[in-house]
Amino acid sequence: MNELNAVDPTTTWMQIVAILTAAADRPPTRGAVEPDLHSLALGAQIVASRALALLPVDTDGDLEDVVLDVGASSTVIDVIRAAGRAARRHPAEAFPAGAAAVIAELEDLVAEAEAVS
Amino acid sequence: MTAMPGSSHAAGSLEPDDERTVGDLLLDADTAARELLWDAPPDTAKAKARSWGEVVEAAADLWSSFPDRTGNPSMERIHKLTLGMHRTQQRTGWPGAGEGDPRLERVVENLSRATEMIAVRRHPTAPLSEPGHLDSEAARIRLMHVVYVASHGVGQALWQYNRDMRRVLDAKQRLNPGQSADQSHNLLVRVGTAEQLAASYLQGRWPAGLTGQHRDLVEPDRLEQAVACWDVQARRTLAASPTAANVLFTVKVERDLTVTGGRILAAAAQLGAVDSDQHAQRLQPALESLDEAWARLGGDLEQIAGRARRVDPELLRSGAELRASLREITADLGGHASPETMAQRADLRVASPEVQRGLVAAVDLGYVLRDVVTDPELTAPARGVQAACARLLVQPDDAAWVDPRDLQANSPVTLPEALRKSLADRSADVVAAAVRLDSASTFLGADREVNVAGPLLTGRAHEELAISAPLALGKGYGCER
Repeated sequence: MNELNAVDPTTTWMQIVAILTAAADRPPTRGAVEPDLHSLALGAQIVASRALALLPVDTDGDLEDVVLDVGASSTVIDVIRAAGRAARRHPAEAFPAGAAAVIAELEDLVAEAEAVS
Repeated sequence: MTAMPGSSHAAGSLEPDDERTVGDLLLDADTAARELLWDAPPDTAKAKARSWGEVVEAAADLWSSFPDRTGNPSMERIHKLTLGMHRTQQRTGWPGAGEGDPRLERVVENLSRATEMIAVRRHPTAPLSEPGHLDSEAARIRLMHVVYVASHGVGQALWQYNRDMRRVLDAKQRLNPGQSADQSHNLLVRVGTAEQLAASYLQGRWPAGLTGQHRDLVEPDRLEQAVACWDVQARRTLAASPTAANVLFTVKVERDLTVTGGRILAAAAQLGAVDSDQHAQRLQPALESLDEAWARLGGDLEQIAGRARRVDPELLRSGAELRASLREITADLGGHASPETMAQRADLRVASPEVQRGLVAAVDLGYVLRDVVTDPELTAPARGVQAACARLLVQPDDAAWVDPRDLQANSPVTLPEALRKSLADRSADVVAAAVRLDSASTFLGADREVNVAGPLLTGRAHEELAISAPLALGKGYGCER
């Protein structure tokens, strides 16, 4: 174990949900927005909801208390990258059952983000 | 190249039921290589060391199986480096005989299969058409990415193994038979060099060069089905399970349809598939108004829903399909597609009315949303409701918006009437903007009546309907399906 995986897998998974939710809400809520960024934000919401579905309902309250290490000025691309990095802190098997499929979707989302960056 | 199918199209030892194309095999190899990064325990280092040379061997074989206009030597250099490493391994006996790494073996299997498929179909030095060249370059980039990621994954495991061996040496002054700190270090250096060579090749190419990869045409009726399914599912979910999360997700998908669908309409106008004056003067401003109306409603709902957005799985699936069907037209492999690329991928005269059909459904959906958000029974997490009230409304003098005990437990609470009123106003703005868009987009429906060629187009007919696209060159030998 090193400093990267000092946080347990379930907590890391909750962080991933929280980070992706932050990405989903990242574009300005008013005025013009880059179409590509909006599509990425929706993609983040889709992956976030699928990741959340793997957690028991009684963790929903704790999700609001997760502290994010994401800067206020970060773009949606930055935030999606951060979610991808968080997913690498543990092997897929350590996350909740079904995580591998969600991680594959997250990888695709990161690739989409890299493509428009 | 990447579209070459397996199955009965190719001879040799391929499994008869494997329908994967060369592109599919490369993608699977890339995925398997990336899976290495999830986990690199030191006890897997020797297995990975055994398999890594086979990965490079298979990659080099595939690299040389199809023509290369550029003559880039990167893969050859990596291959030679690996041959030297193999000789060293034979001489020193490390890592020795044993099992290989299953993920790397999957990479080898995919690459070898792709090489077989190409070898039976085309000559390695036959000239390529321009699309064929771009497709082959995309394949090389993907292939080099496989080598790059695999090298990194192997290097991670070797680094941990070598660190552990150094610690054992420091503590005991000796290692068990079959263990080696020096040989693992030597291999680590060579794998690192290969990774650097691969990284240099990818610099400036990944992912932009993937745009040249051959992609199948968009299924003509995919967008139509996605729009229709979404419309039905959104109403169904909002009737059966009108939660804040489902409402918010509906708003986000509708906004994506407005913004991304708007790109399809703009491309159609730019290329003359629809009336560009009508688009510029009426449709585009109406789209911007609808986008802003969705954004305001969505912004408020984001606060209310909080982070735990448990979306109905069916709603999630149909929303994801609508997003994918839009992106299939508007996104290219290396970024967003130009209007010309969109026109090559889909018949914009058919896609535009489908987008319009989805957009004007917002009139009725706006009413449905208003009914949901004004329902006194609608509940949302207490902290989200508090945050939305604090953002939107003035705190009342006599009482808190949300009971502090509910806030502490983040219990589900009903929305204060003032908040429901605010959301109702936002929904009314959506309806008004959608009505304006309906009026501004009637010219799209008229065009559809004139231009649509039939309910189901063959690939050829579909391609011929594409408008204002550069004249397509004949498909190169390596690009046929």
